[in-house]
Amino acid sequence: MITARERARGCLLGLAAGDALGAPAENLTPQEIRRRWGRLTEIEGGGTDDTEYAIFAASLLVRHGHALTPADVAAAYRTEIIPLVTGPMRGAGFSELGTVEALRRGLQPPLTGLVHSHGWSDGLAMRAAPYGIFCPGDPAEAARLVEQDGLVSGSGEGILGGRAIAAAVASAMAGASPHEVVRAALSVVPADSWTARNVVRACETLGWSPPTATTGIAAATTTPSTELAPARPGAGAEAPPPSGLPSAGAAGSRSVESGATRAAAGHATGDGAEVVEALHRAVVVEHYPWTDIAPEAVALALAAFLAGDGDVERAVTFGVSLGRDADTIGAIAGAIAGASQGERGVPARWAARIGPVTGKCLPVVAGRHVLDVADELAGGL
Amino acid sequence: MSGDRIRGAVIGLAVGDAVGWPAGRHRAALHAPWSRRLHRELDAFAEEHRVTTLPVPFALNQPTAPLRVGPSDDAEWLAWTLLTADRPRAEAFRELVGTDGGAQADARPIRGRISVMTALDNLAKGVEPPASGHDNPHHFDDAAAVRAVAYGILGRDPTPDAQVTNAGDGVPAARAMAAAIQEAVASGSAGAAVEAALAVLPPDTAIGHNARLALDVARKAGDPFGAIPALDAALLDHVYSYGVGAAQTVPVALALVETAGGELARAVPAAACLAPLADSAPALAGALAGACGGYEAIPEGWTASARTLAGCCLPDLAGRDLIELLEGIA
Repeated sequence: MITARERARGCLLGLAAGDALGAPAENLTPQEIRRRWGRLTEIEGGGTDDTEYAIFAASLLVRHGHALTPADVAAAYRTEIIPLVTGPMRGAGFSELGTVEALRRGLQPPLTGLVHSHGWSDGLAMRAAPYGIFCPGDPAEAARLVEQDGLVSGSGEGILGGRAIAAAVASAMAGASPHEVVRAALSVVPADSWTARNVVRACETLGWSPPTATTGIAAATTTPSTELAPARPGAGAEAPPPSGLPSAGAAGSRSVESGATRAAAGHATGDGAEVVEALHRAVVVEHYPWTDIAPEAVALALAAFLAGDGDVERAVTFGVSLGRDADTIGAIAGAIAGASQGERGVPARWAARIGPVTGKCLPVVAGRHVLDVADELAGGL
Repeated sequence: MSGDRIRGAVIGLAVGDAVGWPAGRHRAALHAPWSRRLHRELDAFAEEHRVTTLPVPFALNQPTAPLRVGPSDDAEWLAWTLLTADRPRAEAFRELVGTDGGAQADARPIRGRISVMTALDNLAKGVEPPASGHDNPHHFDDAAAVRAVAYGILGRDPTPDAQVTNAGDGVPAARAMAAAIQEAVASGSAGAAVEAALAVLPPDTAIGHNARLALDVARKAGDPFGAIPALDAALLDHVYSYGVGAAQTVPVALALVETAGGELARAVPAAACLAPLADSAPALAGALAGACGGYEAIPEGWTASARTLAGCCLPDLAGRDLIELLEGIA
């Protein structure tokens, strides 16, 4: 029996480890990552904005709990973030910078998240884990809570990405299986959304067709696309992740060889390179010069979690091998897997590299350690 | 319906398109790729040597005609829309890249905004509208707003076209431009055109908020050129400039055309002064002001320079004359 405290510590430790492991791989192609490291398995330096913003989000939950509102979040930006931004706002994504600029102009949420047009940023998904920790076994409430934060700095698909990850962590906090975790993520976003379409495509690339939400989600205003529900052999069945996927921690894998899943994964080979390419074809946007798009990062992170079969090291190293927003993909995969496995599921050599954050992105959180933050969150359950 | 004002809308857009500094960059696409590689190397040279003599497009062993003042991407996409307006929209877009979809996308040198190129990828993957415009990192840009000038002229709903490439603010932007152009063609009134646009821009959207803010700011300044610094301070995104974000370009165009009283020669040069928006705000302002004042009110030198398409984005349109293209419509 893994306690909620152990899961909370595993979640934020996994997030920090994935962030730090992925940092040097951010925006590199999978080919370049393979050329430099083969499989990137060892943390080289510190984490980035993912960890610091997650700590900040946790501090909002500790103070406001389930009563958190966008006004509380905006007030925290105004009192704790903006006054400390003198000159450049280091380590922040465009959506956070745009939000700060909107708040400086006197706008209120949700306009603060709308006017900068980076609504689909993965900035909310990267810090969604604390909301899941705070709502173990209640994905819907985790999704509702993270949206309060998201309405200040994001909109549309960015909020959906945050909802999906908060729900996934909430589900993992209750000991759900990897497939149940992904189902929980999909249960809180409309089936007719970029996020749901990408998550389904990514899962199908791994040989599994998950169900999407049918009712009870924020209005689906557009016509569903017809390409979304291909009849696939074993659709909806509990297929194991494709074999030959992440091999870093292959021992103990529950995967079994399966002709169907091998075919679906594009004849995956031992190093997973072909699965990586297939996932890129499934969800990566070609004609946009940045990689911080939530529907993409969320789908790739959930795919990494599935591909690693919930194991922290396998999920995170595979997530980082995908490149793109590798630190955020690693952080999200690590958070979900860490909640699933608890603190002992995070490799000790990674945990040893995680110290207090420096505040290089958010000075207000300087000196905080994710394990102390996890204890605070767990203490409020 | 006034044929003169329809011609004014189209030539006005082409003039505004030609006025903005990005037109030269787009038109240089007609040159050999190595010529643009040299341009990038000169940029690096200027940075390395700390010289403020910035490189501009040049023609080394290349034709000089593309570097004359002339229309570029927006005029070509508007012309294409007029020519294909009767076709089902997703089908019309698919034909741009051939029936084999993505595999041929690289074989033909079509150029378009990020929203358009992503939509073409989506269509090739079988992602149909409206998802093709929605699952799109630049769903909020003004590609559809530019094309909507055609639907305003034809008095048709621009939404089915807009949803191929855009979503969010990008779709009401198209509706606003079509409504404003339709009204301007009918009445010639800049004020009525702006009102028609505002009626389809919800205040709780970024574009609706910005349109009202831009109008307030420009009215206070009382003059298009005088309004530029205030518009820059109130409206422009200095964190990350998309350049063609519909929530900036359409409001700026509406505000400048109203403040100019519908005079193209006052609205368009002012729009070109907002350098980050100079790719399309002058074109949108030119379409609106051109529709208000009509073709005959556009300075003759500009109509001569702007009426012939270069084919820099849609190669099939190279050499097409916009006035001839409008025969039967205007």
